[in-house]
Amino acid sequence: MSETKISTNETQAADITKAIQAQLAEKLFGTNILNAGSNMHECNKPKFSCGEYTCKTNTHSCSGDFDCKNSFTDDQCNRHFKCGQTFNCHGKYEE
Amino acid sequence: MPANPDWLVDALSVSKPDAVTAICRLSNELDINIVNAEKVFADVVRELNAQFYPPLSKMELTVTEQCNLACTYCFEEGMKSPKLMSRETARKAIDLLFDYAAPETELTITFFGGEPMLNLPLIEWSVDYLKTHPKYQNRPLNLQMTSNGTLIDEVTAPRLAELGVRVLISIDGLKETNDHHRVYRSGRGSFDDIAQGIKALKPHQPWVGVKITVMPDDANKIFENVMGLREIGINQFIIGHATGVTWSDENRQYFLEQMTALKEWYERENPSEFRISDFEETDTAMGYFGCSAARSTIAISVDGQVSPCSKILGIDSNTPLALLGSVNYGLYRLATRRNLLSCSKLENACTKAGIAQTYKGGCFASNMTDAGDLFLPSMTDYDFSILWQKVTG
Repeated sequence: MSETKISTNETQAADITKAIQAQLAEKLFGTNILNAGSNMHECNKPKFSCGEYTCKTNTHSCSGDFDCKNSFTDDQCNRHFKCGQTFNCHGKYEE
Repeated sequence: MPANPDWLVDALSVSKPDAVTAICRLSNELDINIVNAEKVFADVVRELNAQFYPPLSKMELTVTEQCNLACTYCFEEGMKSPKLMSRETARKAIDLLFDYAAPETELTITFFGGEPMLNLPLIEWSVDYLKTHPKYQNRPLNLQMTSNGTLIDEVTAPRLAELGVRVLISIDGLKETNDHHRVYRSGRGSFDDIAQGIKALKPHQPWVGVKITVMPDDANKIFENVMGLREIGINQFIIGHATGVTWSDENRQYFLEQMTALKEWYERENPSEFRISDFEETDTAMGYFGCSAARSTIAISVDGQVSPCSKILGIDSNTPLALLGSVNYGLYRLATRRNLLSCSKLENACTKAGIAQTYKGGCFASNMTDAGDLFLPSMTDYDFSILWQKVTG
């Protein structure tokens, strides 16, 4: 497949996605979850768990199941990950 | 773009979208050939998943449905055929994982079966494809295989080590226990061959882990089996009770007593080079019902269908439950993925049963086997969760 065709396909896919995602979100979830608001961290999914989340800070990497709620505090989102470190939802890494 | 793409909203919001019909319509409306329409469809599906759902990070690849054993409790009763996964399917599955994963995250791929050693050539090819993939970029890769251990020898063990594939062996205990249920079709026990496999594996994979399935009639031998397997070189244990079978009160009590004795020994002796995963102190408190199936994990059937996990797939691989999509078109069953992640029916059922405070719905496959529905809790599994709480304190 030529690069031009790949680009065309990707452009069309992007356009279609943009056109339908809000309406599809309403149909699937009963609300447009894409407008979750700026207090959402990278786990931008108000109804669902973020699943595996990997953070990389300096040379350290930790991962674990991460549950984000619609609005959250540090207490709600702190989790002990497999590496034994606590990760803060707001992107700061605490020893 | 289609003049009015609303039909695509309707097409993708139903429980069983007809991907082929949608692709044909895209082909017509965009005036592109079917191959390009498939690409557009897959790209749209991928982007929608990225918008709505967590990224994937784990994949179980069913490289074959063949198995050389006939374990009596095999959860893959619905998966017994001579099928082998093709390179084409493996390629598409690996592409899909890279497409649906977050950048730079560690990826875990478990080679599964049947007995995956029966398709070692595909595993070799898949590892090479993974590591030469343009999206690999030296990200962390965790390659695993769950094997019955009978086909690991002095030739295959070093090869697996060379590939970077770590083997988890399924074995239920020492010979008397293991050969109760883990047997060849002739009825002959598999322990002796597994022991040879472990012996061949150790020099190349010094840390060997096993998965023990405790059957009710062997629940009174857990401690001696773990000690005995430790003697033959096993370093790590994952111990689970058999599901889909009847557990008498007596056998449940045996399970509790044996695991309690094991836990007390484990804490007292603090043995080196030895771990029992179930006793590890990890924060396993989940904020959601269900499990990682369809959340961060998928399983690929031998012919390229995408399932939430291998256990669900094993129930009936010909007519998979809770199908999420295919390696050709991605996870286009968005409503199914929504159901598995939100688990509203499961949460309501657990709440109604008065167990929602401490039990998050368990395993979908066990629920199906025991309660007849992915989203109704297996009360046997719930009872065992209470037993585990007593063991771990």
